[in-house]
Amino acid sequence: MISKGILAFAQGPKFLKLALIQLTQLRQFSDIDVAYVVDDTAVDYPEYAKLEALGVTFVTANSKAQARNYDLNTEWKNLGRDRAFELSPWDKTLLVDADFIIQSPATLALLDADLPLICSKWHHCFDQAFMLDEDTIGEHAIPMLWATLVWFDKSDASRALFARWSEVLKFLKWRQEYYGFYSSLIRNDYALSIAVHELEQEQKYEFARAPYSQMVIPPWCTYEANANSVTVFSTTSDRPIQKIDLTGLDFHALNKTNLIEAMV
Amino acid sequence: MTEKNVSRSGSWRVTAHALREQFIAENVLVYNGHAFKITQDFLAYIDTLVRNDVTTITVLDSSSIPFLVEDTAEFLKQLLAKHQEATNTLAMAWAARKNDL
Repeated sequence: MISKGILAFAQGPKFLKLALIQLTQLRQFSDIDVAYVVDDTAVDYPEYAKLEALGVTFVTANSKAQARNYDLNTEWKNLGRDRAFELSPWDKTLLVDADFIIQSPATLALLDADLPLICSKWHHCFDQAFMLDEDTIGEHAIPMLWATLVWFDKSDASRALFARWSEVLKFLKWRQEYYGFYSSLIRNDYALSIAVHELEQEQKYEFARAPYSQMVIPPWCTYEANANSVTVFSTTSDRPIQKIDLTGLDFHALNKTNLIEAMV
Repeated sequence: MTEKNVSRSGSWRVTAHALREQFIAENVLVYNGHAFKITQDFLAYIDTLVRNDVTTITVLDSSSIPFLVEDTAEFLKQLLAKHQEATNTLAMAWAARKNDL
């Protein structure tokens, strides 16, 4: 029997809060197995017991933190995601950011696909001009992939991808010079994109792309929640306020603090 | 809840777009390990095969991997069921929101 489940990183108190929000929304329509990678302080926080009561599997591993310029209040511990292959307890895994809120079965359905690894190519941004983002990285125009959602199995192809992801992060400065891009932040999106690009260029493996886009809620948006729904408001100064009722929609909340304040 | 000066037309537009993208995401059938993005063109193509008594055909999935469909009628049945499910979800989601925009 092939085991299938979700794996997310929830290291630090804010990510534990996000994990609880994520799991609460997920449990409204799915009983799929979920594992959270936590650090060794997690047990000290009340969310740990609540997650445990909801049947979560915990995997303990410690990661380094870095700051994000648009969300300075959140300690961002996301640097261990390249270890997801070794840490996942499942045969087939959906690796997801804790701030990606799953409210429909669409994201889970791809776990049934018989492909070694699938990653997201497009995203669309709520309140922007509806563009499906097809960014490229650096002077080599490496196609941008989003590490928010990665579906993988325990195959050699997946193992090779995660090994390359780690290697890219380890020698990121070299890649920045070689591929001609600059980022003050260590981005998993860049590392995953470069790893996939290199392996495909070497013609060793081919990796699939998710056949749809994921919605991103930009950091300047605010949320209001009641017992039944969550509504997001865009609050940029250059255009009128727009809102969406997020019920049943999957979304990636870039401002973790705003989401936590509304939903906890 | 705080009073906000919300743009009705802007909210209508972003809601319609978000629901459409969610509809596309839910309009994917995973069949024998292959993912198929369901479009009206693809549905019509498979329906044509069934109507012309073609029971077995090779098609490309969403990752351009060839897949042998051994029973086109059964495949069409599952495509239609998934498509109708996604369409109904979209219709209900829009109905629940349109009066609040």
